[in-house]
Amino acid sequence: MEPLFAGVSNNAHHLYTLLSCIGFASKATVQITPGGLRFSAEEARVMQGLAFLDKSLFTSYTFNNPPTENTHPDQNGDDDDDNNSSDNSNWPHFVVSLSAILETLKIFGLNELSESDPSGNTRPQQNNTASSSAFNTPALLLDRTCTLQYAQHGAPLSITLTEAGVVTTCELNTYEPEEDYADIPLQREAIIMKIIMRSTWLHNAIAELDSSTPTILKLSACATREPYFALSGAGGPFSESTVEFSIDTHNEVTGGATGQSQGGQQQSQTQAHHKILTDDGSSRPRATRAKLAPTVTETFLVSPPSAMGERIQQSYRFALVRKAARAMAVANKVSIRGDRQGVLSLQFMIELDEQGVAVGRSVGAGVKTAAVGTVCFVDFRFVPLLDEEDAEEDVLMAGE
Amino acid sequence: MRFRTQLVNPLTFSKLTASLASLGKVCWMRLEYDVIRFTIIPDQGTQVWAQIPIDAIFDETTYELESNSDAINIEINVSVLHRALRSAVGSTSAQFRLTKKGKTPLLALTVLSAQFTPGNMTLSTTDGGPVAEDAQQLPPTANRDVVGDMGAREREVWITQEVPIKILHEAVVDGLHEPHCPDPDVHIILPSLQQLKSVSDRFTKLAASDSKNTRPSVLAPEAPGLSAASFSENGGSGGSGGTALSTNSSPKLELSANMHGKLKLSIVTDELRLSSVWSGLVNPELDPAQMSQTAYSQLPSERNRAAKDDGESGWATVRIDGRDWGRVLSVGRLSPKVVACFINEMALVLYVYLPGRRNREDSCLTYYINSFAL
Repeated sequence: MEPLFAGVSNNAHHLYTLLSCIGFASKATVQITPGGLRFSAEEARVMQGLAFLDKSLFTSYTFNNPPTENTHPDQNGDDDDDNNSSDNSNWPHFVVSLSAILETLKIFGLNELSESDPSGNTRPQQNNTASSSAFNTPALLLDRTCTLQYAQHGAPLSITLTEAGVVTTCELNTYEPEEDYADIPLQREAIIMKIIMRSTWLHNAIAELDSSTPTILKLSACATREPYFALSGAGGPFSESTVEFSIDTHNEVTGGATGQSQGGQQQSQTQAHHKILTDDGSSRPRATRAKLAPTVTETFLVSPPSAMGERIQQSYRFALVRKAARAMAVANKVSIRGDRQGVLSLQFMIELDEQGVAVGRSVGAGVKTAAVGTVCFVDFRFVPLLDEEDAEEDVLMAGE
Repeated sequence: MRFRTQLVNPLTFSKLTASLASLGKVCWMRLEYDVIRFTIIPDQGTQVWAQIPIDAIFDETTYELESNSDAINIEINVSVLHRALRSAVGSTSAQFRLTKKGKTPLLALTVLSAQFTPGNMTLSTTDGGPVAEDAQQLPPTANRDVVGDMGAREREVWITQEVPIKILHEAVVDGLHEPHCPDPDVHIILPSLQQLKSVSDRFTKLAASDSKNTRPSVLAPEAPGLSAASFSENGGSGGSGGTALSTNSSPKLELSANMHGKLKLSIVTDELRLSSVWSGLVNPELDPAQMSQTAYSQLPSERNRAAKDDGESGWATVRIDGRDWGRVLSVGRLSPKVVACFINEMALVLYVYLPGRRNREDSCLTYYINSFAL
């Protein structure tokens, strides 16, 4: 009997890179769709991570969904990166051990690449710049294939890794998902904030705040007044600290250039702290940019409903946001979105090159554009903290 | 009783002692005219019987051994010996001799070392430089003398490491015999131990993380003679009592092989079934000259070789402690050739042949690993 699903990838490291982004949980819900595999992990119903393994990651992707006519046995590289094609709950879904999948994919030297500690506590400085050397394992083990198979409903999910002379098979027991399992809803029609920037900036900011071990992450965005976009950590044993993405009024060009380097960021930020934005700043040669947007952002749209005032302020559990650090480290760009209810969505764009290395961070920016491979997305959603105290503070701060 | 020799291959000796030290501290070292034997029999876990021709590590021309019984048996802490040997790696010359300080017998290692950086110019008779490193790691029982060469320009330093030992009487070791095992069901040459170890360690980790899966396990029926003993305490009676039951929850790996070049490593936990299969390995031919043709064809391994390669029959399986197995595989640092002999559901015997065959005999380490029952 033909299996319900079979996918063959010749680069297990791609799969590993994407799945390790949501490796904060030990279990994941898998949904098989015609467009790819959707892995979702959640914690306490207030945080959710979604990794979508697009079928373009597989050299062969067969999905035979018996009840409906949704069979897509072809592999014509139809690149729709639409993560939301999975709303159809008819597609098979089940729960498997994510930690076991990750551990399995790491067999055979893959772990040399991703030595960064599994807690996601990767400092931005630990970039694997050497990871694309010609002599390391992924370059030498390109003949490896990785097959994922799900025979039928209730069958184990089997992962088969084949490498010269060695075949590793992992059969993961699949569990029924919980009845009331649902994604954290992000109201797409009520998005009031959308910020796109390089993921490095966010990663550095979170790492910076992390050093004071806060419990709450406060996000503040405003289209008209400073600070335009700021993240602050509160509730830790130390005082509150804030990272502010502000407008570099002086040298716009070099500001953009330092954005590529690790060390330049904090510097440009602190420099920017002392600048006062003048209204005639718009006469500077950055007319092409949207007015009044932080220097590092590519897109900066903040349009709160009038009831909320001009400023969007929400609080999230810092420890949960920090769990996305691994995704921040490997991703190239991040889209930060918030809806009217305060649900925060972090969507990471991860570029995978042919060798399985995430190019976003490991190769210099100049080289990167030449080596763009597959683009994948990993999504995180966070439910905001609703606290009366916070709300009062918000009012106070807004009144300042 | 007299023993003195120059060390010619300190790196090999150091790696060898490191591998041995991972299995147990107390080592019976038997010095003979042609070979050195190392035996480690821990209370539980793998025992190892190693036989090294003297020219594999020592200089034959300077090898001096005098004893009434044609052999000297000593008990030595092999990890202390390993640390002492580290100072010999890269040295100009190194010499072993048996000596005595007061009533304590010692194995003294004298190293002439000439590799000091200019920063160590002031090194004289006290700690400093690379020696100090060793000094902190040596237990206080291991004495150490450093005599600095006062001609600072030459920067040659004599280091003497003294490792305390116990001389074992021949009667004490008489009762210790290498385990005798039935003829193996399957014998196969293992793939690269480094690769096997990295896969095995990952399996062990996966099985250990599944903490719900803690079945108590007991040892399989003892292979004849495969039992624990300690050298001095119970006078070498051979320890007829069973090996201590292992009730710890250390994960058990299932290792199996057939006579068609396949080796399988697997674990089963609540969440997953994981297995790695190596194929295309070599099942070495036994030397038919050793026995008659009928006896040869009646060997279980030869019968299994004749069995069909249908993936089902002809497999021999053992269950081994994952952590202990990882320690055994650490011998991979010597990049040896390893023949594994599977005695189905009973034991696994590894014959580890060190590379660089000298003239007469092979260096061979033999590991005896008990199988656990389900």
